[in-house]
Amino acid sequence: MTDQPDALPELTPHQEADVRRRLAEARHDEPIPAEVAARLDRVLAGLSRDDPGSTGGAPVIDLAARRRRRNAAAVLAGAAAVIVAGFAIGQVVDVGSGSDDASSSSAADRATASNDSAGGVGLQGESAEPSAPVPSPAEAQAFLRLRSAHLERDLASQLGKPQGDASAVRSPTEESYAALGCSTPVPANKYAPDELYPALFDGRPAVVVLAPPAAGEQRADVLSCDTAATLATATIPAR
Amino acid sequence: MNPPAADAELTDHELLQAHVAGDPDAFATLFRRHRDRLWAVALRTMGNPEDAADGLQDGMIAAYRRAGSFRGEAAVTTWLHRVVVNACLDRIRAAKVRRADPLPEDLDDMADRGSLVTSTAGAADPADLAVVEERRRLVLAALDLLPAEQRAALVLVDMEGYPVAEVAEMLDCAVGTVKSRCSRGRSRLAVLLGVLKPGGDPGHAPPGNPDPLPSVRTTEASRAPPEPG
Repeated sequence: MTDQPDALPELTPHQEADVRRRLAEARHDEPIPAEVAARLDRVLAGLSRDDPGSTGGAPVIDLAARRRRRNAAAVLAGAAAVIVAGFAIGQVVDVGSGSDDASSSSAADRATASNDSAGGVGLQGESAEPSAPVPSPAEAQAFLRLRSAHLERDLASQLGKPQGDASAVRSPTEESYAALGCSTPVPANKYAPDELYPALFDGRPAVVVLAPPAAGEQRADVLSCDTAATLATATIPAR
Repeated sequence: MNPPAADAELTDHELLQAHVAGDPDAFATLFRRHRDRLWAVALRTMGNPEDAADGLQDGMIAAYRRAGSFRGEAAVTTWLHRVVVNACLDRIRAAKVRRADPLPEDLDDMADRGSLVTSTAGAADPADLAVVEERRRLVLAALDLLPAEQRAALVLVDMEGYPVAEVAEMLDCAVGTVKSRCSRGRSRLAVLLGVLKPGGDPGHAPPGNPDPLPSVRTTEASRAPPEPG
């Protein structure tokens, strides 16, 4: 989508002004539609809620995913019957470490946007359904529960001070991943010596990849459960 | 934790700081303050309300989550636009939203008439309003055919009226790149909208390029029976 060096006419000042005037006339001056505003408010409410397990990211509605889902219903039927959404962990391997994506809007957004041009369904689209399953409180205890706005704090507190069910968090099993909503266990050997932790990130299934300590710190990448894109990155004191 | 920052008297920067500090209402206040204009940008960049809503939502979530990375080097509104536009462009790239629909069949005809660009001032008459609306529709249809980056630049510069330098920050590119994208985009639109054709805009001075564009109509021989004689 780069600019093509094609042969374009050079506009006179009058012609250019004409085009600019037409564009200005086509400006959208109406306020945001009420239904869109309400939808965004719901999403924000879900993001800011302290108890992500109660929302499961449900407010995030992907209209495009819904449209695509109509065409992919047959493919999705099996997965939808099992859990919230498929954990396309195979993509984790392909994505790589994602080490430089902390400031990348593209990487951060892809997981949210659930851009599956191949006709797959986004996690949000599935979880937006009223009947979307959400991990029970008992199940959620086995996960890290992370908030984007307080990621460092949540990671440090939950990874740095093991207590209670933290042992379950530190020894993720296929069952814990499945309960979280990830249909495929994370291939831990692909990330060794990094440690993997199932998590709920703003209420959405995710995986935390914790790098070994270095210079008194540890890097933690939060990967999306559906796209394996890096949702967030944080650095916490070495445990 | 700081007290809730729902008060609309706080500046954008203060609201963002409050959000980062843990205020649960600050970001919503900030986003509601600017969402109408962000919506307009998303709508014109994406081309339809459904995709615009998705793109705006993506951008909102990204901004919410990455607020801590905002360093105050630009205005908060610039940063918000940047995040939202990037989210929209990501959607276009990833989902190939950019449609390959042809221009409306009547686009060339409308441009040929020239009447679409003649009298927009004082368009109180329903017929005039209809003409204005139709021309608006044609512009949007043509805009939708541009590469996404050119479209975004034109939306921000020519539609929303942001300075080129600020748009360069929003699009995370050089000022010259913005100018180039705008220039190319305008040239494409001029072709698509028939601005280059003689009489393309009789409401303004005659264009300096009187040569009409090559016809895009079929070059195949007519299949009609030969005329007798």
